[in-house]
Amino acid sequence: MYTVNNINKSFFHRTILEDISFKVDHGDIIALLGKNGIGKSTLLRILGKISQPDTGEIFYNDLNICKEKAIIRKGILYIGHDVGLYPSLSSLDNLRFACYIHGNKVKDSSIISTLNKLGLSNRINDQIKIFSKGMLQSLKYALADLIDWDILFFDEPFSSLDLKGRKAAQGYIDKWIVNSKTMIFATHDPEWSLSYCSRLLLLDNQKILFDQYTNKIDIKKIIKILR
Amino acid sequence: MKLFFSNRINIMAAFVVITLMVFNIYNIINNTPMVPNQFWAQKIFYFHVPIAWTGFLSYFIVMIAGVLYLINKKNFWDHLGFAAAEIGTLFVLLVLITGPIWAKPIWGTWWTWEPRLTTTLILFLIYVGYFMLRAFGGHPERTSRYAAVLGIIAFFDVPIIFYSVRFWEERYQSHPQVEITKQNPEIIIPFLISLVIFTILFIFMLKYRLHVLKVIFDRKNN
Amino acid sequence: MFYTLVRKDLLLELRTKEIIIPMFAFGLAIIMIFALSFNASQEINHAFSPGLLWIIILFISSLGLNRMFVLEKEFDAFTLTLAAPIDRGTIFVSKVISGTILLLIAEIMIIPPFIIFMNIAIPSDWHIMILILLIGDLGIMSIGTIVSGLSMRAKLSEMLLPILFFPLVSPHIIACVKATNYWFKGLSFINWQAWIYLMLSFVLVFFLLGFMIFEYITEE
Repeated sequence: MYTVNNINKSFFHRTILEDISFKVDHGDIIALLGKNGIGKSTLLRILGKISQPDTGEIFYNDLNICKEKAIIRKGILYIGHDVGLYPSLSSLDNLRFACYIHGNKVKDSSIISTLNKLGLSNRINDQIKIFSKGMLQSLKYALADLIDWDILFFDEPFSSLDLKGRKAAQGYIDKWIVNSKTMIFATHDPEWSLSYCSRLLLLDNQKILFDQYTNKIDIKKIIKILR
Repeated sequence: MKLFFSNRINIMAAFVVITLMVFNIYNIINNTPMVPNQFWAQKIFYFHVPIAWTGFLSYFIVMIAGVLYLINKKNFWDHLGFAAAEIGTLFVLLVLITGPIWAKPIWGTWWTWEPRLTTTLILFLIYVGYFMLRAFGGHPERTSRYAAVLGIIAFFDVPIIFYSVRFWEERYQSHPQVEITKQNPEIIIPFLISLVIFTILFIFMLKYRLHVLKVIFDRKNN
Repeated sequence: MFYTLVRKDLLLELRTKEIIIPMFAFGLAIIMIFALSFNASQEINHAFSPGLLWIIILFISSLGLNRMFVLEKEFDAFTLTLAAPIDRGTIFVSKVISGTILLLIAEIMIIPPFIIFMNIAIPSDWHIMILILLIGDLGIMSIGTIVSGLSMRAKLSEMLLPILFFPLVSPHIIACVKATNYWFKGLSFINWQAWIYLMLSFVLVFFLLGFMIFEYITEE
């Protein structure tokens, strides 16, 4: 469903990604692993079409996302490392807007009930700039829950979440796994990746060092590389 | 990468360009007729107009290089755009200096809001912004792309600037080159020679600057 | 889609009040400075006021544009719009439209004090002025949105914006001042329609150019 062909990207004229190619099948849950600054976020941003690759093509349902009209990208949800919502708007306004522009008309009541589940119900009309980092991270899950996506790119799914938040987050991810959704997570946590993801992509030295399904993987090898 | 003047052909080219330029100056001083009422002041016309032409030519090149850079993102186009912008701005600055030098004895004032001169001034200011964008733009790939965009926008602004200034103050006289076709061959031929020589000078400068940018780029990134 | 984006920009302004109020306050300050430093007779004010008005509009629009894009930059909020299935050209058009609306509101607030402090009398066919303002604002915002896109991520963006913006927009401002001037003097439209066409061509060129090129501006 998602095909990446020979992507190259450089920053400051230094190659970050070199000739990256892989294929995502429907139902894949991919963990994108790698050291800090290795280009995980850059790759995700390219996949979400925030950033443009220097060369290479990306196909979503056999359509080139860099060339075709934007509407063919419907069904792709990118959630970045940063908050990606307007600090001066309330969580309700933010989520309503986010759903609209992703082509989902969502009722206010369902937004409120989602916020309820994440324990943000008493803050519905507050500007989100007063939220703590963990609460902002929870908002991303609310967003992913409300929007009807086919493939999700999520950068750092658990950053700054406390135990309770992490549990709620895991609950959502479990739900998506059960519904056999397609997801790519950029993460630092190899143990979590092994237990929840179906496939690991390890990025090192501008390339994909290996790409394997988790049931055939030697964890010691990964930890050794990540060190 | 080797330095520009370590190549023998380039040294010869530099020699040829200098010779041509000296010949050009000599030719203009000695072999052109004195225009009544203007005398020596008129001679600046043989410099002013070719310089303006090269300036606008280089801004045209910035635009073309910008379009090509946005299409295929080759560093060469970025360097070409940057080099042409630098040289173009230098020439445009010379236009802005030679214009008033001519205007003072002829029109009795240093500066008039004559359409061509005003267009040149505004374009010069846009390109001051261009270099600031280059300097403060953030990471280099983005800066190059933004500079390409600005080069394209600036180019499309030129006709609008020109017409708005022309409608704005119609009472100002036009520049002498408007009647160029009516001039006699004694003036036209040295003028055309000067035009060609300035274009050759421009091409040589562009080649040199491109080389320097390439050397700087290679040193920085290796 | 387009409506949603414009609505979001207006909602942001409603919640933060960071755009129109500063624009108004800044505009008022400029009027005060002008009025005090010239301290001129009504005739001179009459002659100068069209130019003065557009200088004020230009200054406050550069302020407003800067704020508009700072609001997008905080929390990396712009990414949300970029990641959504919306063509970059549509984003550009929506920004131009919402910028124009905000600028028009600021202008409508600033014009009454302008008339009072500068002590000028305006012609009775003021609806023509609304038209001039509308076309003028569209042009200012078309080029302004392109330039803000270019400068928003740069160091010293608040300084870079006017340096790029003013020379690029200058032909349009000349046309706006001229049109306002002729209207102000009460000449019939036939005499100065060329200026309106010049303004319209500026709007057209940079609206289309921005629509096509915004892709490269928003790209990281």
